[in-house]
Amino acid sequence: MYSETPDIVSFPLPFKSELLTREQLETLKAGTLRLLDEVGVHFPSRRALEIFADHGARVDWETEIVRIPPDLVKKAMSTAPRSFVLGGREERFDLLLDGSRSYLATDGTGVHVMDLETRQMRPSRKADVALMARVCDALPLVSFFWPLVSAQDYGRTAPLHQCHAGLINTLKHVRGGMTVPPQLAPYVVEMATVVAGSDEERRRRSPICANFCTIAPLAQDGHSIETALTYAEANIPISFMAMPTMGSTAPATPLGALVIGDAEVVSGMVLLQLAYPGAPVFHSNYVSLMHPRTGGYIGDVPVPLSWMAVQQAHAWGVPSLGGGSVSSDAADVGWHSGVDGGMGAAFIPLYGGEVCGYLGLLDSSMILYPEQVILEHEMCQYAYELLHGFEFNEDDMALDVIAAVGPRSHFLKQKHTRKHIRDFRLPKLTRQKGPDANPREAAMEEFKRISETHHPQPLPPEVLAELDRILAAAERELSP
Amino acid sequence: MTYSETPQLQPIVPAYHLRILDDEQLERFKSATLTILEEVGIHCPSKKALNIYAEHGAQVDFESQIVKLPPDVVMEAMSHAPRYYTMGARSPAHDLNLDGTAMYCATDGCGTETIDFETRQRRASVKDDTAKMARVTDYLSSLAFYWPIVSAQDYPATAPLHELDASFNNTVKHVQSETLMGEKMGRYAVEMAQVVAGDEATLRQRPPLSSLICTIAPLAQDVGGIESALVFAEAGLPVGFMSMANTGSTAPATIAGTIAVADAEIVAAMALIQMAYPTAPVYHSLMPGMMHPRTGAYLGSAWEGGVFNTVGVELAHTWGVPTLIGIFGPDAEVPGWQSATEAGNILLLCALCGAETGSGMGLLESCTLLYPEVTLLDTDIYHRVRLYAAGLDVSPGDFALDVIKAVGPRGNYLTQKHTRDHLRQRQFSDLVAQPKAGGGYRDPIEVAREKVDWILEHHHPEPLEEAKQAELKRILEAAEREFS
Repeated sequence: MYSETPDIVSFPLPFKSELLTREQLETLKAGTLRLLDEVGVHFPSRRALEIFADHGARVDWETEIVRIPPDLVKKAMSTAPRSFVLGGREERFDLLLDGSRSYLATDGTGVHVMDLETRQMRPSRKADVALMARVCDALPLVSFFWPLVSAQDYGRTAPLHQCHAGLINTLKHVRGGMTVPPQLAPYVVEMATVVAGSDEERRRRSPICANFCTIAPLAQDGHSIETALTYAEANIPISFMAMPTMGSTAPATPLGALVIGDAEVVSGMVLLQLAYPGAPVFHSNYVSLMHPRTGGYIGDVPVPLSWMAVQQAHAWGVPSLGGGSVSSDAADVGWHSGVDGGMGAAFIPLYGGEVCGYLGLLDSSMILYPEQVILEHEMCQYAYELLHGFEFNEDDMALDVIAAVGPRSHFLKQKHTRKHIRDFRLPKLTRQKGPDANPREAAMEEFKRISETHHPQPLPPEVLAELDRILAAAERELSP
Repeated sequence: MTYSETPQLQPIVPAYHLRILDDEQLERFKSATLTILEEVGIHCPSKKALNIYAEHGAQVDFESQIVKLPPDVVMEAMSHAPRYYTMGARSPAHDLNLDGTAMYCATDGCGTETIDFETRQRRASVKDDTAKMARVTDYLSSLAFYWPIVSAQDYPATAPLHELDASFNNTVKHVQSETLMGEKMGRYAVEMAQVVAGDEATLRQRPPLSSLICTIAPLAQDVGGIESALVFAEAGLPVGFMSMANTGSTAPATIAGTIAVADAEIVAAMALIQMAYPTAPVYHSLMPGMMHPRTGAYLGSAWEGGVFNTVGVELAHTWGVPTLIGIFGPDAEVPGWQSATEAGNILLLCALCGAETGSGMGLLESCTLLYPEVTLLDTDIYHRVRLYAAGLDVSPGDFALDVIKAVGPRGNYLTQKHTRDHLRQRQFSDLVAQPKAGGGYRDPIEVAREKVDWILEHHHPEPLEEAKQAELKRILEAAEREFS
């Protein structure tokens, strides 16, 4: 017996708005094209350099810097599909990234865990990934599982184990691909194939996607690039994520940072299109700010940069991994995390990025507090209720009921009230009243309840066995 | 005698806008209001008001005190309401020009309990709390006008007037009261406003005081409220009407039904004012709540309840008047996660919908409890919203392409002059990310508490001229004699 996984709920986008005009977007794009052409990007991968050279980019083999002429950028990007599917175990868990809806993802990838029992901080492990996958399987607004923390008990094969923990514990799409030593990349592809059932099915509805961070400013990671090429060949959807930090790895102006990040992301997408035209790619540009006194990382910058990043992605004709984010720089649950989460949730339906949200971590995506995903899920539900669209009909207007009650009475006795008061979904966590009311504790209890009762449908035993075999083979690959 | 300069206001000036309802939906609401007013009517327990309604074509039943308003009577009256006007401060630099380009926010009110500034014990509120928070409001650029945040309960008979006295004496900003009930109280308040304004022209063009009157849901007026409102309108002071219809108890258990009831109450009142004093400045305030279905409790912040606020803004504009919208005002009982989550979204959405004014900063427990630091916490959120709403200028100079070129791939920007110049221009919160000795960051709530203390110690706005202070005192004494 297993628990039914609820359908995923995505945000319709009736209030999605555009902040930048077409002209402004063109200006930004022109900035990116200029950087790619005149400054270039560092690609420490022989294979990548060869691909670029073959297609007419200017490659400096010594410095490993690639300069890409605007025409080549545009030509390459013209083959990138505007929309594609991220697959779940069943089609009802598929995400169609075409800009019509926003799907929420968990955050990743942290390294510390606030242990649910001991309430002590400790390093993350594979079991944490597995637990979070299981719990997120029960949360309807989570459509995309990004392994929240690193499986640090597995060293260099951690990414494969994160992928594994995700795939076996949730029916939803898993961010199973990330940078690995390149020789391990085929094992990740194999895991995806085994879960999908066939090469064809994996190509059509991959159960995993991959994300590769660039290195600001204007550089790529060698292993990332080589892994990406392997995944792209397998038609596994890939996002490049830039994380320029104003003041340290980017200029201290928002537009300068946006443009630098965009150039990094576009250079990666261009490479993949040149190597495998039509490879599904998506765009992520997450600008932050250096704390001028401590050098610390500030992710919550009061400028609508993530909105602009969504528009940048769409201007390049690809989906966006970006948009409203509930993630917070706060190191603990409290007022600060509430502000960031509350406001971030409200931005989700306004910005309209295809995959966004980033539930579950604190301290700028470093610490997993298990209850945080429950708290944030509630905030996202609030945003959903508030902005999923407003339709009303005569029964809603209730003019005849108003007339029947007349001035100065009340509606408590009305059948209409009894019928409709149940239509309202009330927040679960903040329903308690009184000075001892504690949403955080309520969230922890809810988390425990789900973790004790929710056991999603397992993969068939032969698939599980095959996955174990693949993991074992991957371990051996790395042993001398 | 030296005093502190009152900082410039920083209203929210949105660079982009949002539409929640389309024109057709708004017309349906308007039509619903007209139907309710024509067929169901409202209850008005003021003889004076009933007469005004009757004289202007309403169908009045003097016995049941029910007024029914034909649509053309409503539309005629509302056609006189001014769309744009000014709410004045002591100096024009702090005036609120309600011209639709900016949103101005105020404190919440009128609470009844305070977490004591020193002892941190919970107690009944007093006049001095109102005075202190007026000074804090004067200091914060996020607050454009002051709602007396708590009740001057140490002056039970004349609390509303003492609230005004505490306000006028401690901030140069516009003051809006929501406790002035009754014709007599209204007249004293108008007298106080006249003193502060100094002359008739200023009083009418840049009124230093406005009033908010609540209706009684469903579909009723409060005699004290209506008669006070008429006094204000006569004097040329802006008056607004707020409905707090409650889904499931004093309004139907649907969003649209609640809005319909509430809007009808507000429009009936604004129409009355226009009938009595055409072109009197009025505003519309839709602030329904929801009834908790198990406990019957008041939920100011409920998930779908946010729709009321945004639709309220658009309805006000459909009726051709500015709005005062409810912002912040969480149900939470202490500053923390819950109070924060219930805070910023509505402010952002309402600003983007074009709200002219909003009130709600500073209280917890559904607008009843003053934690002094909450005004600072809310201000932090306010500034984030202000910055988000302002968008970004996309001009080539900001791209820093030459700097990017100079650094090239794989370097860093720490040594760039450009970084040193521009990092200072980035906006930083003064509550979060405050370094702590030994590493890490301080608790923003503690930082906020310290800031309140600092403001109270250092910020003393320009006092009223002595003669005006004396005159206000005289008015209070006269009121005390009359009401005791």
